[in-house]
Amino acid sequence: MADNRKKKKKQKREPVRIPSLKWPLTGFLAVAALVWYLAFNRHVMLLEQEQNQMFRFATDYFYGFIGRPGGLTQYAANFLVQFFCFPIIGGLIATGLLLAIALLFGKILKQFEVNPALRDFLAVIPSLLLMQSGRELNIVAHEIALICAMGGFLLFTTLMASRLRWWLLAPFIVVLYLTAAGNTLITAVLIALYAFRCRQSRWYAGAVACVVTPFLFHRIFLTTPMRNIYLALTPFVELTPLLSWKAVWIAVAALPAPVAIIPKLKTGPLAGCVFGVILLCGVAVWDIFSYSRNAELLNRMVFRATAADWQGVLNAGKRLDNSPYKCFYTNLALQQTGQMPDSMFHYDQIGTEGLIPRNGNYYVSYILSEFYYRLGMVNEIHHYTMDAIVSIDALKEASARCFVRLKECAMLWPNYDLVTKYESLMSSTLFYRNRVQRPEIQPVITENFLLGRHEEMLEQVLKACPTHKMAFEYLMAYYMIKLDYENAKKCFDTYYAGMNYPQLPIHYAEFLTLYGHLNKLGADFFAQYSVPRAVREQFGIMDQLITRFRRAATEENFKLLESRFGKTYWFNVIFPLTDTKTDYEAEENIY
Amino acid sequence: MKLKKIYINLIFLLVAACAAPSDYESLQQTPDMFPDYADVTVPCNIAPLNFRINGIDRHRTWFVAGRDSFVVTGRSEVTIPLRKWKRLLATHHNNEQLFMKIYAEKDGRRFRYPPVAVTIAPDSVDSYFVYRLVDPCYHWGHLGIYQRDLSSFAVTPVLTNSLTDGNCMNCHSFCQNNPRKMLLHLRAENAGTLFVNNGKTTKVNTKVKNNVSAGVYPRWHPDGRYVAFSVNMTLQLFHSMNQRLIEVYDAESDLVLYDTETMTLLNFPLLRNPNMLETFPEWSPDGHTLFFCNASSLYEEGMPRQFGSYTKDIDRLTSVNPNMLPSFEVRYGLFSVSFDPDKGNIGSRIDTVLIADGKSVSHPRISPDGKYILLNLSDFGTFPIWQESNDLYLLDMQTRELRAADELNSPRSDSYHCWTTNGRWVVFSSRRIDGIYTHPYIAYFDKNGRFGKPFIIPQKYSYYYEHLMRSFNIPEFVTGKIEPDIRTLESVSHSAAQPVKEETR
Repeated sequence: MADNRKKKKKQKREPVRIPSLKWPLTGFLAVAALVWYLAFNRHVMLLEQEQNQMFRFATDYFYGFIGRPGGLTQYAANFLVQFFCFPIIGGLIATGLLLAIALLFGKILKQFEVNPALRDFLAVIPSLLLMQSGRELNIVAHEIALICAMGGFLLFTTLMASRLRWWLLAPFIVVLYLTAAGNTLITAVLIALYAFRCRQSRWYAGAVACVVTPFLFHRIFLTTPMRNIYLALTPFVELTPLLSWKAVWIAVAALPAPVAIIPKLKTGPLAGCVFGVILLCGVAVWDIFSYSRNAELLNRMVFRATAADWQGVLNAGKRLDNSPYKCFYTNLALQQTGQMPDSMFHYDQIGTEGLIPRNGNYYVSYILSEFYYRLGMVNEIHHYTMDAIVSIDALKEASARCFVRLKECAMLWPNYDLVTKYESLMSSTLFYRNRVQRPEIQPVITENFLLGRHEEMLEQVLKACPTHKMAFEYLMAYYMIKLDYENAKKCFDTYYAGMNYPQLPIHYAEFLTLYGHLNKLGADFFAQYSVPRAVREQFGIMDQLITRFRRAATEENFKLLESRFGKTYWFNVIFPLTDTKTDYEAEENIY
Repeated sequence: MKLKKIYINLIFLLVAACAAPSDYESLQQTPDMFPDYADVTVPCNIAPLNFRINGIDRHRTWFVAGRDSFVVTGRSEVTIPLRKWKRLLATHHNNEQLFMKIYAEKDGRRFRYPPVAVTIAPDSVDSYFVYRLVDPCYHWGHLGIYQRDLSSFAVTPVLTNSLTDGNCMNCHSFCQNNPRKMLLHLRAENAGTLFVNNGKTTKVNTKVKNNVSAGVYPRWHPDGRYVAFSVNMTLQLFHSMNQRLIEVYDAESDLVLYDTETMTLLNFPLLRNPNMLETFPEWSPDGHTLFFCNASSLYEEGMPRQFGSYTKDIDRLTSVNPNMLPSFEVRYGLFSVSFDPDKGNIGSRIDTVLIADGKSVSHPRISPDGKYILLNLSDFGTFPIWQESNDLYLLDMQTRELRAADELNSPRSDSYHCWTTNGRWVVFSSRRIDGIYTHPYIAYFDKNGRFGKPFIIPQKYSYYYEHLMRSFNIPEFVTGKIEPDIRTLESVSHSAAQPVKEETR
């Protein structure tokens, strides 16, 4: 009795435990911040992923995935990615995947008995690295596969602790490989490390099974090469994976290794915490500094251009490093807003490739399809859209943006049988099925001609449609940038009158002034073309400054020249921009 | 007693369910079915003709042949059970008619269509059909050569470019439709020609110094020892208008023979005329005549040979003359030369078989009995698949009478074709559905030299062709499954191509 009273007294004395809201609240805020960041800051990358696939609820679409390693995962990923057209949902999905990876990796580290203080910091490293890889097209499938691989390891350790373990191993590894594909190798490494740590030699069989199973599937996935059998859905088979993306895979396999190899490795809570913070900060700093926003900004330009938001294109381009793609979209936006003949040299021009990019790289195909779309040449739109479809090896399917454009081509030709085909395909999607879509442009009707070089095509278009402003402005810009003065003059003489400009555009006035000066033409010439006196006077001043600069090529003189004439055609002629990025490889992950 | 009643009711219900419904309104119009299988003649070993009926909510379709029948129900898809279909075809294959009696429902209204008749021919089709699946135009992306069992829907890959570093592969060709004697070309990466010869697979480099290219269009000699190849310097250009997307033409082409036993490429000056464009070889069934297409080259002398790389070709052509499209003026005829299989030598005279007035001949394929040549006639050139004017024509070799195979042709391009070993069926590819994507069609060829209505090769799902973003290319019948498996071909394709010897006769 006395004991009972004591117990009751004790119970009375114990304060009521109110669950602490600190951690849930912190977690919630962190998740909300991440969702916000992904949904609003990186939403272009989410949209880019959505645009580069088109999930269809169709049997044939599903069958297209099951014949390759990780196909089911890819199918599931595409299902999720279709919702990326809504930034908030996309942000939630992306956050969920990153959180799942962090939680699972935390569990793995716990399994390896990593110091709890260090564990929480290490656990977020793969997710942190993956955030930077958000621009990779196939990233969602890769994340799901990684989750499957990590989950597979945890399941393996649970299986080994149960009675049913060995006979379940075979189906377990098969399911693991079908979902995790090449990431099964990570599971193999983790299992091997865990077996080493626990001194359980029989568990090595699990690791060996993870390595051997893909080889057996070599006879089932008949159209998959051996490299992809082992590395499917890992960054190592992608075209040019980011270093951070590769680092994720290495981190998951390598971080538990020291603990496994040196079981006595122990650190105190403080040391662990400090080490963890240093490691995490190091990764975060590297992550931030190595991240280039170029791809993101360029994608923003692409999306704005597709939506004909030309001011948006120009705004997005302001923060982007110069490149042929940036220059192309800037010029296109200027032309579409009627600014090209007046202000194209206000922006850095990098040669004719900035007008119409070279098609040496498949990634430029979609860009060229945009150019010809605006120009109205249907066969070429079709040509480059088809090229864009075949260009992305990782996706293996036509993307939403390509389908939309192909359907527009079919409508412009018009070929209604083809429209029906594409509508039939799109009818099995969630978000494109009832999309009423009419091409924004009118096709150019010309006599059939052979498609050759870009300037020849523009000439042909102008011959057929002498009032085609875009063809005229691009052809003028092409000759002016190429310093082909005679052809520029010829083009101007032939077509300018039909364009109905309210007054002579400033760059054309600059060109004519230069032409007159080079050919030593008199006042009649300038009067004939109504070249403003102010422009000629400016040219005279610039000529003097150039002469002075040639005598004394100082930075001060150059700056003076640049500040006064940097936005003129003449400046571009004398100081053509050479310090430009012409390396297409740097941007090849964009499409 | 109760149990007996239940049984009687059940039997009654079953009978009622299986009997043709009587309260259906009769329609005069034929059903809007896709693919259209009405009034076609089908081989007795073809896979079920699954189709879709547009504009209905649900259907009940009876398949009736003689006294046998079975019923299929569903929404708009008519998916025929394989076993029942095979049984029906096996029992009624002597030119008997199979009727599809379609009872449909739409918005609560019940109606029945007039029966759709299909004739079951006693002649079987070769059991497999090999084709290339390729992106429809311009560049290739993912492509592969596949084989389809025509009595079912089973498809197996022969070789895909996912296994060969994404290269191009083309021109699969069989000796007398024999799957044990075949070849196919690999281009770009891993270039070479894979030969499968009675279980042995080799890779050969058929490019020799004096030829403009490696072997291109092949045709096996009937005895299986020789292969006639064309060697072509092929250029590709693009049109600006009218959905005529691509123009492919030869700047130069010749014919050569390859001896598979001695691995020797035989050159014959008669077939290497520099002023002529020889291409598309074809053998007579007895192996004593080599047919081929031929045109006089209209290029300036020496000009094609100056061309460098592929891209430079286009640049040079267009910069020389932007409107230059040589193949507009080039029209091919059909010619022949005798061949001695024992000596491996050709005759000394080229005979004219056919000059089609204002038309260009391509893809001649002779029937197994040697009585007919099925060929393409187009307005110009050697690559007719993008010309809407391109149609199939039948040349009677006895009377030399040429007639358009109107039973097969459509307003769009109908091209590449192949005969079965019994000569009763042809398969050809056509763009008739949408003008861009080619699909394979089979047609019956009767003893009077007439074709039946062509039908698209049936697929498991009626929407297969609508959803497919690739073209069927080079459909070829074969009598069985190709023997070396895909992994063997993959392995050989990565090996070094063996050089061939060259000999001029």
